[in-house]
Amino acid sequence: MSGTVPDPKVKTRRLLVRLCLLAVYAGLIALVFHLGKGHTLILDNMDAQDGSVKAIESLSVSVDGQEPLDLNAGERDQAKVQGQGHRLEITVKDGQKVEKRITVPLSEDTLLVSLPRLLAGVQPAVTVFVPLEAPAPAEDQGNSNAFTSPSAPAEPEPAAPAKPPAP
Amino acid sequence: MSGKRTFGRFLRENAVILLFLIVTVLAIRPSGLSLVYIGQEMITRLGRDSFLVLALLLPIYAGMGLNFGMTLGAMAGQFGLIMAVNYNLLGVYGLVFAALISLPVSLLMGYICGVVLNKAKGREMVTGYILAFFINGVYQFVVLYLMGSVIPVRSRAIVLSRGYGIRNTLNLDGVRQTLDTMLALRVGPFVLPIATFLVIAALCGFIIWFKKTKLGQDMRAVGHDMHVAESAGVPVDRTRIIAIIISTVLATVGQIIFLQNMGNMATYNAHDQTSFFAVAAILVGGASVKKATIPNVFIGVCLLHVLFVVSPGAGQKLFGEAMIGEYFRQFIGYGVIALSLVLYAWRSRREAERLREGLRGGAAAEGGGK
Repeated sequence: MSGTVPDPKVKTRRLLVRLCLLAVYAGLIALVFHLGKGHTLILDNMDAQDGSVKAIESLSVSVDGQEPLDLNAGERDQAKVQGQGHRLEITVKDGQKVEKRITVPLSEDTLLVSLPRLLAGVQPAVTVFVPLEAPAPAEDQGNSNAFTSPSAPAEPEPAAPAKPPAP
Repeated sequence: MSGKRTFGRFLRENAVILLFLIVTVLAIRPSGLSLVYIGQEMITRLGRDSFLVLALLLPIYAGMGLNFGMTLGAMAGQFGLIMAVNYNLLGVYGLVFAALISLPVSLLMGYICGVVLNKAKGREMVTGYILAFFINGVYQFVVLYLMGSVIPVRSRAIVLSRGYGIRNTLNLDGVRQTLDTMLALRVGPFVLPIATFLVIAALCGFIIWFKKTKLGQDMRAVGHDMHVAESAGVPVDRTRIIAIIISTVLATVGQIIFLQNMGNMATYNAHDQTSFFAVAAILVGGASVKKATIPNVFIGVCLLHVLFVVSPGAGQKLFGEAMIGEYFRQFIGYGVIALSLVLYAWRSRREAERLREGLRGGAAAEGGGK
């Protein structure tokens, strides 16, 4: 307003302060992301595929002080958790209580926790869970311009990739 | 005579609030709802909506009328929430993340809105309304086409099956009522969302403090008379832009608080009526286009929402159809806005006439004196 040219030193300092503020803002987002990231733990009480450990006949497990989940051999259940470090309290059938701590990777949403492996100290007890590919539901396609009645024949499916001829 | 005139003036000044109070009280009995239920609903809705309605105050102080452009902030808040759901952020951290992500967007939106409104001085309300429609188109484009194709979306649960675009409804289970239940206090039959009320109280404190600052005083000066403020050296355009930016940012946070209470989000139309109901609430509370206070906000939210709660029941009982009550909500909302604007125009006209008559009278008296 006054028409004076700001001192270059002041300009540089101002720029630095602004950059610092931006960095603090980005850091705050990163911190909130780190603390608030949710994960789904699939608690698995099954025999290991390589046969290294056997499922436990009956156990109950509590994740981060949540309601305990009872699991028999061959069963799975899930717990929703927040953050990366978690405490698992496992009570096996004979009343023996074991406390284990696990760390989950930040980038993964769903992880498979093999309780028999965890109890036996066999690594890796925590692995990334890969869900089976299921076809997406047909509704909610965003195609609200289709003026067909429910009884009308369905639109043709997109062409499937060609299969090699049977021998 | 003087008492009669005072009573008449009181009636004129509080016509909307009195009319609303009468309709609400009359509708409570036929609705068949208990007072405890209505009280709890009122408390819940007070926490849910007050922040959004408070966002309207600063533009009114700056003489920009009712900020229908707050929808822009609501859209920015929704963008932040989509991101929080996308990255599976839970609890209060999810809300803070949504607010942090949407803050730059809402600053930009507020700036755009402020610049546009400065070019339409005197017609801010209708300009804000139309601008909200325009930015709604941009929002739809971003969320329906860019998210999943250009903007990476990692959660397949929120993406349409075609691979891009966000689903019509988002489940906000991860952040659902986290603020409301964080410090919930049971008082008799009522549950009070203390944390939400503290956030609202902090905003009220901010508004009271802000009004006393240099910028706040400038805003009031601009709201009182733009030309006088300009002559006094107040940067009018800049002050108006700042008022709209603050309002937009507050609307962003308000929409996040609103949606965390609801627990789900209609991706493409949750923001449609944000400004409409906020404006209706503040007008019901006794505010006008030129004057609004913090008590107006709370009175308005309570009255409007009590009527919203009781109207379906009353409609069912009186007309045999609950849908009449639903239509009643819309009718009341638009009706209140229309009535307030008409009353405001009528009052302004009367005031102008009174001033003109006063000047004529003064001139006549001076002439007579000579």
